[in-house]
Amino acid sequence: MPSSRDEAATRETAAIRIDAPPVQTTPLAGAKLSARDVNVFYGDKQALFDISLDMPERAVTSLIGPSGCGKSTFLRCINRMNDTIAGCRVTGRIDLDGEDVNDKGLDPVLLRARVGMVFQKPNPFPKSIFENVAYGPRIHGISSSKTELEGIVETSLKRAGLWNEVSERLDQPGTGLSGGQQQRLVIARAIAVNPEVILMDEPCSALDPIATAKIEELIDELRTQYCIVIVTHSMAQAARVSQKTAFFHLGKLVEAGPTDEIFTNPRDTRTQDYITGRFG
Amino acid sequence: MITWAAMAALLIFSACAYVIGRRRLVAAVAAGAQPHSRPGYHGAYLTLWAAVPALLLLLVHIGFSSRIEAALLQAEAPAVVRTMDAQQQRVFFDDAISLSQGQTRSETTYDAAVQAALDAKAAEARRLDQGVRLTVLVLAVVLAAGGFLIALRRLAPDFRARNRVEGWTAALFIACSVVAVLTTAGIVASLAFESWRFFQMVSPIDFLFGTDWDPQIAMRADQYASKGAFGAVPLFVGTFLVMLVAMVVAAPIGLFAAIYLAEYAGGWTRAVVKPLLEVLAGVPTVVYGFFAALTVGPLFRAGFNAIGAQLIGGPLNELGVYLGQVQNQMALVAGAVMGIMLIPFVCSLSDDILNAVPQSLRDGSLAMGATKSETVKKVVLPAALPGVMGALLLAVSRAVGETMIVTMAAGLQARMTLNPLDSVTTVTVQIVTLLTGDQEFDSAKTLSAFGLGLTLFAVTLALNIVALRIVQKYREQYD
Repeated sequence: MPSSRDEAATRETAAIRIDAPPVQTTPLAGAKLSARDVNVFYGDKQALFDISLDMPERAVTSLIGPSGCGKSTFLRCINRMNDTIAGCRVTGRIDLDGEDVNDKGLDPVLLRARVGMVFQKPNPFPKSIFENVAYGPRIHGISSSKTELEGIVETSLKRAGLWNEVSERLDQPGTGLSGGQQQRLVIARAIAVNPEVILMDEPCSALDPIATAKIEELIDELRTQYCIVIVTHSMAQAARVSQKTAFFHLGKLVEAGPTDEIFTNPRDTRTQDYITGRFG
Repeated sequence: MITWAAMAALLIFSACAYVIGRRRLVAAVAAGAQPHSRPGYHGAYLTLWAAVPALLLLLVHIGFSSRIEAALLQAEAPAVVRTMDAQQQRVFFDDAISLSQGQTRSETTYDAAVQAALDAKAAEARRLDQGVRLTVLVLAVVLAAGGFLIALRRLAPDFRARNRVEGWTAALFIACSVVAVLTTAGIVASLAFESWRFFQMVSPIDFLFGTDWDPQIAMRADQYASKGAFGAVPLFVGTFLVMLVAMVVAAPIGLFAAIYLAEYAGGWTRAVVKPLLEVLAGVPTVVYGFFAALTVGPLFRAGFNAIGAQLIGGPLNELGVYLGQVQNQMALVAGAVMGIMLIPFVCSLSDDILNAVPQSLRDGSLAMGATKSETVKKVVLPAALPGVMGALLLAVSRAVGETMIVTMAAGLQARMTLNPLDSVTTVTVQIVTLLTGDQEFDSAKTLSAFGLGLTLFAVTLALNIVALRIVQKYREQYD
């Protein structure tokens, strides 16, 4: 197996050639998440305009676009994190398995247990590595015994590809890990509660290329089980990890489709300009 | 008076110096010179040299010349005066200086010889004063003119006036901080010196570990109780008890209010409540003091007495009798009111600390499906805990040093008790009682106040250092 450094390098060169052959061609499964006419307002200012987008099950959907185009805002609508921002208003529907997440009867706390989220800056809690991963299972009462909890922590860390690096020091603070390790730790934390969807808000923007390659590898593995939506500034990353890509510009969804099509044959000139680096 | 006039003249002179310095450079620039600094700096440089040395001299004159004059005057005491005792000599010289300044002297009756000597001394004092004044004025003029000329010679267009003025500015800031540090050092030194005198009369071991506090010392040697008892432990116990009650009130209420403000309150509520809290923190403690003495004390007493009346005759008869005798002044009242005083302090500090916890941690927890209170309990509070501990320690240090409330509400009797319904006394209350009224400053009784003060200073200093360390360390974690 080649070292991760080499691998990252080859990935990098492959991705820079935007006209590279598509990574995979399997047809996308049915939509796990489906947004219809989503509008978001911060006070009087409208941030998103009539977004309609399907995000398929067991695949990675990437949201790309220049800064301030509303892709993170859209991501935060899916698990209703925008509720925590004063003055933020959301209209329209976002269905998770046919159920509207904005429904008054739906408890956002339970929704967030089904829709995990990974943030731009790694944010492990100031607790031990073990406690970080055990956080979700504890508050949701998922495990009934200490052994079961330990099992969940171990499985989650293994799936996040962190187990080998931290198994000897689970009792040490999570904040003491490197940036890339912290990001994998919060991914382990997110998958410990067995979510159905994982949202990632520029998960690699604070990481170096090697750590980025590891996270991307991890995303590729996780997509076999989850519906993943990732916001990224790196078009190379979108091309590498995602099966579907949506291009946002000035609060509007310009174009969405299979990643290989978007990158090889964009329909909209704005998309073309953005992915070829003419603006953004 | 003349000195003040001289100062005003100096200020006018230095203002002129500014204009001159400025004009010169402006003129030079008009003539085609390439200046290093802007004209304002040339003016400022000239002003500083003209004003500062002379001003310093005048300030020294105002501060010290009367003492120097007095010392010069007393150096040669007339023969009649030399026969007097020290006390009478002091009065004599004070009178001479008063007369020389045209003020009324003390009502001491002097016989003719002494009166003549007094008049002579008064005349001498007047001459001395005028001489000193004249010398100072001449020196000031020389300094101002000299400084002005020296600076003027240096001022060429390429002179680095900007950097020099920068140096003067830095010197000003350094001087101010030196004053602050020296004052503190002086206070501590005087405290330490007086305490040292006290500890020569009473052994520090007896003071720190003795359990009997009764500082009454007879005014005359033949009076009963000529020896006081200076065991400060009852005072420490009393202080501790009041502080404990205060913290039991202030810590939870202040902290929970801070959690509400930082985590739950909307922008509008915060905008109203935060300033209100700060107003509450600014209420003079004497106001809390009479609130304690006149409102809370009688209220608590009435309450306990009523409960006592109910219990008398029942199975808890003895408790009933005790509660029936509770007085206005008790540790509970002083502590409770002090706790109320500390609430805004604790709340405001904790609020700052909670706000310093990064939003990303809250987001992380909420995104895991935690509720708001779970997030506060399991993520925000643990993250903020060291800082909150620091805030509480600062509050403890304030409670220990607080004076007015306990003076008015706690009592004067030194008692070794941890019963909050008893009247206790604290270190600060004792310092107040020992030093108010007519006191001699060489008896163990008065000096014991300095011993207490030093102990208090040491304790609060240690608490503050530990608390600030904790708060700082916590801040670094996220910066």
